[in-house]
Amino acid sequence: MPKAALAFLPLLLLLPMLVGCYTTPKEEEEEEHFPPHWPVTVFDASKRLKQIMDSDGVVESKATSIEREFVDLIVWLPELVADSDMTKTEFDEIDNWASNLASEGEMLLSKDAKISELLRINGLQESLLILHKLCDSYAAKMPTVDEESGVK
Amino acid sequence: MDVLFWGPLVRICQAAVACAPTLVIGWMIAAIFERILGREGTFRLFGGRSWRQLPYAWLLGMLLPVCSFGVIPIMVQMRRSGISGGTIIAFGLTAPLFNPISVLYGLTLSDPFTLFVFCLGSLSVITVIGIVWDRFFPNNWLEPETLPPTPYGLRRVAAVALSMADQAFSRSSFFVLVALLGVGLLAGMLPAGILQHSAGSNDPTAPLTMCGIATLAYVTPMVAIVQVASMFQHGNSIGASFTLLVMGTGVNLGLLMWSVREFGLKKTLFWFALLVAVVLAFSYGVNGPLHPKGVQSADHTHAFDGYCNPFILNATNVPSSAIQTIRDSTKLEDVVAGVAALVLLAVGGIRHRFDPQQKMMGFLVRRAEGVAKVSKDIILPNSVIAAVTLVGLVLASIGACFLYYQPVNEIKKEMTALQADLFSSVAGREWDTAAFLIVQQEDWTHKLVVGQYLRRQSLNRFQKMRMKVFLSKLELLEHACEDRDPKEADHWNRQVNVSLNRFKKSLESN
Repeated sequence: MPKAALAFLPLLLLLPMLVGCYTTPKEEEEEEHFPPHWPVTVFDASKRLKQIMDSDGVVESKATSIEREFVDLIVWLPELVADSDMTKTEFDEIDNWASNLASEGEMLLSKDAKISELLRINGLQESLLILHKLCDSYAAKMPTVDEESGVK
Repeated sequence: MDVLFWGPLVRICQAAVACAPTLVIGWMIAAIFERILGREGTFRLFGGRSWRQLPYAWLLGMLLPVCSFGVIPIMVQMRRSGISGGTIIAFGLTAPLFNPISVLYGLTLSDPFTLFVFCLGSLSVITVIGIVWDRFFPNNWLEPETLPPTPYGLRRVAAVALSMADQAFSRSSFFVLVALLGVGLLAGMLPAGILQHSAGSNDPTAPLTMCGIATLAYVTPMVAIVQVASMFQHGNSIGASFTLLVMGTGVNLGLLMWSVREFGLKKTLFWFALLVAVVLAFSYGVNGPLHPKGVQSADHTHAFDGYCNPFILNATNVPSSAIQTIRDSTKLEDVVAGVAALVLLAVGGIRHRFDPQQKMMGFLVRRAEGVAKVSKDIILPNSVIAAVTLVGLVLASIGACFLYYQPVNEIKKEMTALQADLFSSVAGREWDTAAFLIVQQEDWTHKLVVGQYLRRQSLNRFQKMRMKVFLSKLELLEHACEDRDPKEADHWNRQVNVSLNRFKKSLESN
């Protein structure tokens, strides 16, 4: 072992004293787990999608744009369905059309498409109608579901 | 002051415990090289002086289950066998990165294509380093020592065992100690949680930061693959995860010091600088193209909390928490291997003290005249014995996977029992117990995936999605427990319970 290398060892041992006393500011530890437009449940997502469609996209959005929010909601649908009591058959059906709609939506978003163009995607209206009906039937069975998901 | 003493000590003890199995395997492989393969056999195993030496070093490194500590005694044996410096460094850097168990585990956690690219990336990194280093510093090998051949039979077994003890009580263990010191040094320099925001996918400095940290860190192959997969799942920087894999798993302070001693400071700095340059070039190259699509990028990660000080600066009851932390992270297999390591160290120490002339080894390797004539044993060549042992080691590690990753029904039972404990510990505000149980629950979830994969029953998309929901809620519960927030904790406690039940129910359809 070269003596020069050994001479550095005490210095290395002192290093923690010099730099280890730094503390992470509390605000840096605050963590954002969800984007502001995360819908919490699939029922919330369904309601919000219906709201956007009914208003032709003329609603306020917590996302960077209403177009971004609309596509994100469709992207998140499979995860939100998995976080509900919906069956595998129902999940597979929603996952199938949501994946197709999401990739088409992302493609349109990359071309700076407006919400009106997104709302005209082929099969969107029919697919979302299936989702709304499904959510309504589950919500009727579980009236307390919104209350449960109140805290994020 | 307590924090600066106990924090690094905890990390050193955790690394010492975690490295025990792979360190003992390292001593065993070194002993096999020395006493069964011999110098010439080891030289030939690594392709001699042909072009095959680097690919062989990479392949053998991929197959042998050692870590960056356990690889040091093997490198010592390679050096004594006259293998070139470039090949030794290539082997030393690759062997800890992957092994059959970790690759299998990795396949279930991250995209197989990405893992394939990472394997190829590691091959290209070590090939570049090996070729360039050997080109700049030709004839960098030692003349192989002459070793008497070990006679077959029980004496050969005893010679290997004694050699293992000698490996344990040798200078290579001093370098392992130095490496452990590096782990403590890193924990002393990094306050708790400081790396949580250092691997963001949009952070261009992430691979560079990781390079600085990972050099001192100790990561076992299995932990590395889990961390890399976790970074993928959280959408963290892919470049940073490759840097972590190569630098964190492959390099440590002890390895660098060993290299300085063997090759000198200039040559060591040369290969280290080359390694950093190639790894960073590859990391920045794959950062964009391999970023997983459709993954919501997390702005933080807990993957590197284990390299930082475990205690915040104003923590209370640090000594008792330190003991508890070490106890919690110690697994039964690590304890068994740790005891074996200590026994080998003790035997090696006793041999060193009372038999400095190596008379006992001399007796074991002395050829007993006439034994071969009267014995009816089939005499197998040393190369066959070595091949069977090394292949057996690989097969045993694959076989051990089936014991370690139990069938899904067994794991479901464990998870249900654990969930009951977790629920009551959160309800009873036992935050430290809850934090420990959450980590256990995450571990069982990963074991379940691997168990399914091993039995050719991989999860369908519905099951994977339900598992993702369960794990993300478990993480949120973890944060609530860290923050000691009763309201949040109660909420996520219920949510975790519900999502686990849904996940288990989805598994029934398999």
